[in-house]
Amino acid sequence: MRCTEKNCISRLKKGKEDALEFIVDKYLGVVKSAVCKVLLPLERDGIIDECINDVFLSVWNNADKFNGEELDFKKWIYKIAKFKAIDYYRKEIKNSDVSLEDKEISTNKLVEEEIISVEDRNELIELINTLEPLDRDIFTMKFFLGAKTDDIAKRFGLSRAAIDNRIYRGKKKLGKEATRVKLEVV
Amino acid sequence: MKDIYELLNDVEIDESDMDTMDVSEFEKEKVKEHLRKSLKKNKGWKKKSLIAVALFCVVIGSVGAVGITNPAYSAEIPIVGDIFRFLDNGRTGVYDKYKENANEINITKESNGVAITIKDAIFDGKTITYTYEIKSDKDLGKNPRTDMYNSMHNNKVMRASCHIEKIDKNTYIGRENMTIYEDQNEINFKLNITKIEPLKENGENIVVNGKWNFDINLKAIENKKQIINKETEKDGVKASIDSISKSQISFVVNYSQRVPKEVLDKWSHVYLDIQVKDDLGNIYEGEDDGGEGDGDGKYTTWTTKFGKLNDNATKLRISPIMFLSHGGASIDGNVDRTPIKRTTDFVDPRNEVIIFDDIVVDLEK
Repeated sequence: MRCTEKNCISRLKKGKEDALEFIVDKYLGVVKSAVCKVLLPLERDGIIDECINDVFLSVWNNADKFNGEELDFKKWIYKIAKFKAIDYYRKEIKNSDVSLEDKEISTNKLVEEEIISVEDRNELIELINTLEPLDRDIFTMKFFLGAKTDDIAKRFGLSRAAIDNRIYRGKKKLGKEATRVKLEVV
Repeated sequence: MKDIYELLNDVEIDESDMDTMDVSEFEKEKVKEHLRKSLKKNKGWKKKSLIAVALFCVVIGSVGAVGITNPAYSAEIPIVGDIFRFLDNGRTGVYDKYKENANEINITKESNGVAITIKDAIFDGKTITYTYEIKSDKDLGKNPRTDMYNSMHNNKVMRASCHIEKIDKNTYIGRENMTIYEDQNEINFKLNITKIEPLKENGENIVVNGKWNFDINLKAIENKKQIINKETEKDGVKASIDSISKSQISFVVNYSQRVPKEVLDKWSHVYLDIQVKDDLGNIYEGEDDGGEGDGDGKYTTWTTKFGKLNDNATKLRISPIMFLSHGGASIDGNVDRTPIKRTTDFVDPRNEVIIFDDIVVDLEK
């Protein structure tokens, strides 16, 4: 028996390795595109490959959390790729901050910027879970997928101001913790 | 609480956001290769390498050979503390509990400039596992093999496997498993090593003859065997879980395959492998202990050894998977054996796998 279009998701969830290889064949192009868009400007050797491998490993390790049809699966993989790429980007930026020393710090801009470390990220996820579903989606899109406010507004049929407002209120609700986790986007 | 993967699942995006880039077959292979390494599986193919390893260790079950016990002198400071674990380079975890439960032997015999020390040994009723260290005054190459005779009363060795590694100049450590036919509560085994033969490298072959004799008594550690006999069938092929033996160091699953002639005619290699998970979500990685078959290959039994079973587990979910391949050796017109490139890649279109339904086993306490 071999892995086919039809059964590959269920086989992946069962932990069958041939399904993972099938998924690499099928979705590597989408993953590569999402990762390259974010990480290509960094011009760092190896980081793109590393991130791509990480995406597929995450898909493998978290397959049981996916639910939906085949098209949803493609989207899910794409979203994971984007989230991972942004994560890598943030880490790289953070590392280079250290090497660039005080130059940028004096302007106090880069320091303020989009740095969510691993612990903070888990904390942020915890906080996001306390929001109502719509806000939860908005926050996920903004902070993990790096979506522009305009695009989020379009998707939900709301105005830009309404989204900003919701984010503002959401942040406020997240309260003290939220300021600690420095909610900013790339 | 939802984690990031579930949150991402909820968020809708437009299909038009998703671009795709061209990727070459080479790129795909590179990613797969990396994943394979990360997942450290391909277990089904280990059987071949096990056979290859076993060839380096010539073990002859012989009733006639008698061991002479020489006065032992204490070993020097050990180079590697836990050889069992050290040699588990694939980090399966199978040998993690061995050292703490093993009997310390530390007997060194020296002959012809080569000192062999048996470090630790453990017997689980069916398999003796011992570790040793070889220190030599000359280089014994990368993978020296030892020729030895062992005798253990009326017990014959059914199969043996060894793993030896060079760890320093002229210094080697090894681990050997010997499995006997009948379960025993206690075993006396005499090990008579007669020569060490470095594997041929650059055509040079220095054989070291000598006499390294060991006489070791071991009591079996407590172990419990549970008969299972649960079977699953697919495409005419049957996979059966026969029994499970548990002890404080490991658990061993005995399983078997029944393959009809039509399938055997089509494939040169048919291996059954198992993946084991408990009801707490732990996944166990095993070490293949080889198998035996009847003459025509229709019925084969396999043994796989795993690390210590979690004490709180009440069920095991065993997923049998069969690998069918055309690898191995073939005979061409000149009657010469022509090895076909070994395929370790089960996405190779020439190979196939059969995935059986899981077998769930309730564990006896």
